Amino acid sequence: MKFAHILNELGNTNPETFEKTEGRRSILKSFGSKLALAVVPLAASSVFNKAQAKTTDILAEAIVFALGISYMQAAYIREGLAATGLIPADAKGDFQKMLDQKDKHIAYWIYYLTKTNNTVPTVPTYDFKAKNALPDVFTNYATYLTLAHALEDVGVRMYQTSIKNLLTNKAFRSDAVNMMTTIARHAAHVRLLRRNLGGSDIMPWITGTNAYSIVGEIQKAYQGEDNTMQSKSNAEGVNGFAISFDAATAAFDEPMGVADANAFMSKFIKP
Amino acid sequence: MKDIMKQGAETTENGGVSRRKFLNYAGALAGAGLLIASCSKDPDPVPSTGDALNLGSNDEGLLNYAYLLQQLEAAFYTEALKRKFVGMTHTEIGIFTAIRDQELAHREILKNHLGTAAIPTLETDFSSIDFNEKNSVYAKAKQFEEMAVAGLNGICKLLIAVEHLVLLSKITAVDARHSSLINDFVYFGSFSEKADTNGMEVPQDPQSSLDVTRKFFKREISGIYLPKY
Repeated sequence: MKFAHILNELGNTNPETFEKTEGRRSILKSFGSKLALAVVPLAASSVFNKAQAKTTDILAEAIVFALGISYMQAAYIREGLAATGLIPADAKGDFQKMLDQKDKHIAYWIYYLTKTNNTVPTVPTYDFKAKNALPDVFTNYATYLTLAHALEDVGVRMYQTSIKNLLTNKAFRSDAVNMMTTIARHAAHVRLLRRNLGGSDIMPWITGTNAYSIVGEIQKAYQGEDNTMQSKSNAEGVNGFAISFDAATAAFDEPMGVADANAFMSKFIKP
Repeated sequence: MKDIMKQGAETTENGGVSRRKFLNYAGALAGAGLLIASCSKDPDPVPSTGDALNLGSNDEGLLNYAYLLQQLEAAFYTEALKRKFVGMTHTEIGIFTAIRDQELAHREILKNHLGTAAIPTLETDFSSIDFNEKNSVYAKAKQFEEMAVAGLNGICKLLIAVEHLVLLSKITAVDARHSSLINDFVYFGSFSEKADTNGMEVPQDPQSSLDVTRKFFKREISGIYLPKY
C-alpha cells in the first residue's frame, strides 16, 4: 500500500498539538509540525474525522495548486485522444500512458484533500483554443504538441512551487517531487514527439523562454525560464566552464509562482 | 574565480570539513536554514570513516551526495564525447554535448552552493564501460540518469532547508528530462517506465543509492552520517 507511509505520518500527529492548534491552524499544518513531544498515536481515522476544512492552509493550498495543472493536463490529453485523426496511432499509447499517470496524480491528491476535510476543487471547463488563438489545436498535430509541451513544462514548474510550500510535510513533499519528475519525463517525451515530427529543433528541455510558438498564450508558459542565477552563482560560464546561456537556462527548470501560473492557465479556462 | 580556487583548496583532503568550521561557514554565509540543518542531528561523538571520503551529515552531506552524482554524470558524458562510440551521429553528438553542459552546470552550481563544505573532485572508475560500443554507453547513460533522479528525489525528501530543496528540485527535473530522452533512445516509449503504480518516480534513500554510485569512483566513499529515511 503506497498510502501506508502517509497514514503513518498522519497517525503520529500529536493530539495535544492538534487540540491546541485547532481553530487557528488547520490539521494539515499540524501534520507538518510533528513536534517531538510525548506522543499518544492517534488512529489515522480519528484524526481525519476531527479535521477541519481550511482551504487557506498552506499545505492544502499547495496541493490545490498542483491539482490545478494536473486537471488541465489530463483534460487536454483526454480531449486530444478523443479527437478523430489528431494523434497518430503509434503515439496514442504514449498519450494514454501519460494520461493514466496524471489521473493517478489527481486521484492521489483528491484522496488526501478529502481525508483531511479540505475542499476538493471542481474541474473547470476548458477552452484549449484560447478564444480561437489556437483554432487548430485539435486538428493539427503540431499545434497540439506545442500546447502539450507548454502544459507539461508548466506542470513541472508549478509542482516545484508546490514542493517548496509542502516543505513541512515530508511525505507530501516527497510525493510531489516524485510526481514532478514524472511530469518532466512527459514534457521531455512530448518535446521529442514534436521534434520527430520535423520542422522543429526543439530539445527535451526548456531553453531560455523559447515557446516554439508565436502565440502569446503559449509564450506565457515560459515567463522567467531565462533565469541564469542559481544559488549564489551565474550558471552561464560558471567557474570558467564554457556553459552557454542556452545550457545555463536548460540545466534548471524554474518554479512558477501563482501569478504567472494564473496568467497562463486563465487563458485556457472558461470564465 | 580566485575565490573558488581558494574554496577548493580549503576543502580538506578527506572532504571532512570540521563541524566547527562548517558551523562558522553556515552562520556567516548560508543563513538560518543551513544552520538549523546542521544543528538538528548532532553526530556526537564522531567515529572515523578511515581513509574513506566522508560525505558529511545533515543537509551538507545530502548536498555533497547530490554533488557526487553530478560529478559522475558530468565525467561520464565528458568521456563519452571524448571517446565517441562507433557510428555516433551528429544528432547524438549534439544531444550528448547539451546534456554534458547541463550536468557541468549542475556540478559547478552545487560546488559553489556548498562552498567550503564541498567534497573534492573525485576520480571516476569507468572500467566497466566500453566507450567504443554504442549499447554499452547507452546502457550506462540510462543507469546513471535513472540513478541520479532516484537519488536526488530521495535527497529532496530528507533536506531541511528550503533553499536546498528548491535548488535540487530544479536539478532533478532536468535530470528527469535527460532520463526520459535516454530511455526513449534505448526503447522508444519507455520515457516514464520507472514510475510506480501511482505515477510517481521511485526515490532511493541515500544509503542504498550510494551503494551503487560508489562503484564508479576509485576512492572509498562513506555516507554513514547521511540522514536516513
